[in-house]
Amino acid sequence: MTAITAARRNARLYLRFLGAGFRSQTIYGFDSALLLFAVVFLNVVDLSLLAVMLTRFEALGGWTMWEVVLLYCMFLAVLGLQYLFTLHLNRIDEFIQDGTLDQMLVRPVSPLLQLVAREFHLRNLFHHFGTGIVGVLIAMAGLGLAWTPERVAILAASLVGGTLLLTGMVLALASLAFWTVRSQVFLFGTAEIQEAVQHYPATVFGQWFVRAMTFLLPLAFVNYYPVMALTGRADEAMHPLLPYASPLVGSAVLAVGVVVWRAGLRRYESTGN
Amino acid sequence: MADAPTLLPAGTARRWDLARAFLRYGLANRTTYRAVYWAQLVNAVVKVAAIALVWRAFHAVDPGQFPVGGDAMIAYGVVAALGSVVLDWWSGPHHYLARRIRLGTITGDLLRPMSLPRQLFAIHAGETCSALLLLGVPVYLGALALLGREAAPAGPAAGLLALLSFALSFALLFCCSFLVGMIVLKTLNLLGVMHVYHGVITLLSGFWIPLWFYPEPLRRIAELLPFQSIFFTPLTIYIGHRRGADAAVAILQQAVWLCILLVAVHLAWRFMRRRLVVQGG
Repeated sequence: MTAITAARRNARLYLRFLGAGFRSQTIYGFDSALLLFAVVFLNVVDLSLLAVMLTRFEALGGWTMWEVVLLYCMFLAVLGLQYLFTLHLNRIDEFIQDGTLDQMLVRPVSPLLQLVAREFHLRNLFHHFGTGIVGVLIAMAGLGLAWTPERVAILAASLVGGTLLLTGMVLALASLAFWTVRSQVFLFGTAEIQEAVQHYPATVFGQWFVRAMTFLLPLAFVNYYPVMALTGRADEAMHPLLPYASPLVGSAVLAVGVVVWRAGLRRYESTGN
Repeated sequence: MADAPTLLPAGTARRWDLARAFLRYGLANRTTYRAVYWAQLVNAVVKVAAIALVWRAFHAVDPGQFPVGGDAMIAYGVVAALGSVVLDWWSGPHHYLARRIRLGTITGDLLRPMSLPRQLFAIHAGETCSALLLLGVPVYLGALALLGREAAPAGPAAGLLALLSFALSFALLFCCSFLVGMIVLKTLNLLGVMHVYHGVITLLSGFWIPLWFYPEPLRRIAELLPFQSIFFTPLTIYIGHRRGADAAVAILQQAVWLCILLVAVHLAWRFMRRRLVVQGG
């Protein structure tokens, strides 16, 4: 009974935080509009330049223009979902340094739950996620692929899987701050690899890169494999089941992230001491 | 150590000392955190390798589409990627201005015995020098060792001219970033303005895709604006696509754009200085 009451209370508090977050973001109307325009503009520029090349060369690494657009937009949509819920995980090192984490530790609620529920980045629903989903719809139409129930299920499962994956990766890398104090550098260190995976089919860089992005830093499950599943290229993968494995791999990476977070928390001594 | 400045008039010597102090500050900014440096180095290597492999893949599809050879195209990509790492436009005067305005510490900058644009130029020069020495040079030498002709300039003259052209690019990019900083001061929205600025540079400078691949109308627009002078000009000189009189005209064009932008910087700062509102008071 007490657990149910506590859960209700937490849910009520989460919604109230959500409302406050929404109001704080809509109060600066011009800023929000400018940022929305800027994010859409930047992605349209990236896609237009890719399209300029792909209309000229017809294919890159065996992938056509609309397949590359789908690849790019799938990554963007997943990134938008991760930003929407957990963008602030990037700042775990700041929370450790400024004592925010200490406040969380004295409250009778799981610190990880408090951390995740701390902020909700609503504008990313319209920015990265919105732009990404519109791009996915346009690319699917460009490829002449119908929205069968199977494809809708693959897209939904891949979006969830990819979001879990990116969240787990960010949580694991940012939690290294428990050992190193500063951790944003680890996230920043993967930026160009993410750019490469978002913009180009992994095969362009060679099979070694596909393997590295499958087993080492499994970013291929964010867009490369899901697009293979959506476009009927699953049999071209190393294993024909890999294109459907995003939810499974995403959950596993998130579990790794939680393990790193918990290990860090166990050895944590406040930086103030 | 003080020999050289004493040969100069007192005012010039003082300005030179000040400029050196800001240069040192810029260098220190970039080298404070060793871990950040290693992450930047990894990113630079990935960026260069990725672009080299992408151009190799495109070239394998249809070599006839390229107005230059495969080696030259890969050299274009490698040096463009390195150029974008060294001549970074995500940080710089606009970023510095936005931070100082938010914290209110810009009042201290205004009291210093050097104009703000000059302070920012010296700091940015220090930051760019450290990026060049710590990131640009090692990755470039690594690329030369691994790729050979695929990363090398068309010849010694092309290499030297490209170096001169890149020096002008640095000044041009500084002016553009400073003017963007003035827009940030007016709108107080760094993130949105930065995204648009990044989009404009990506689209119109030719650092990612050379302008010769652009559709005719877009190429014409790019040629009318200063951004193509920042990357497309030095890169085409480096690979020998522009040589002799053609290269000289391109460098002259950069110099003309620099004069225009310097006047714009001067006017914009004169206008903005009177209207500066510091957040919090």
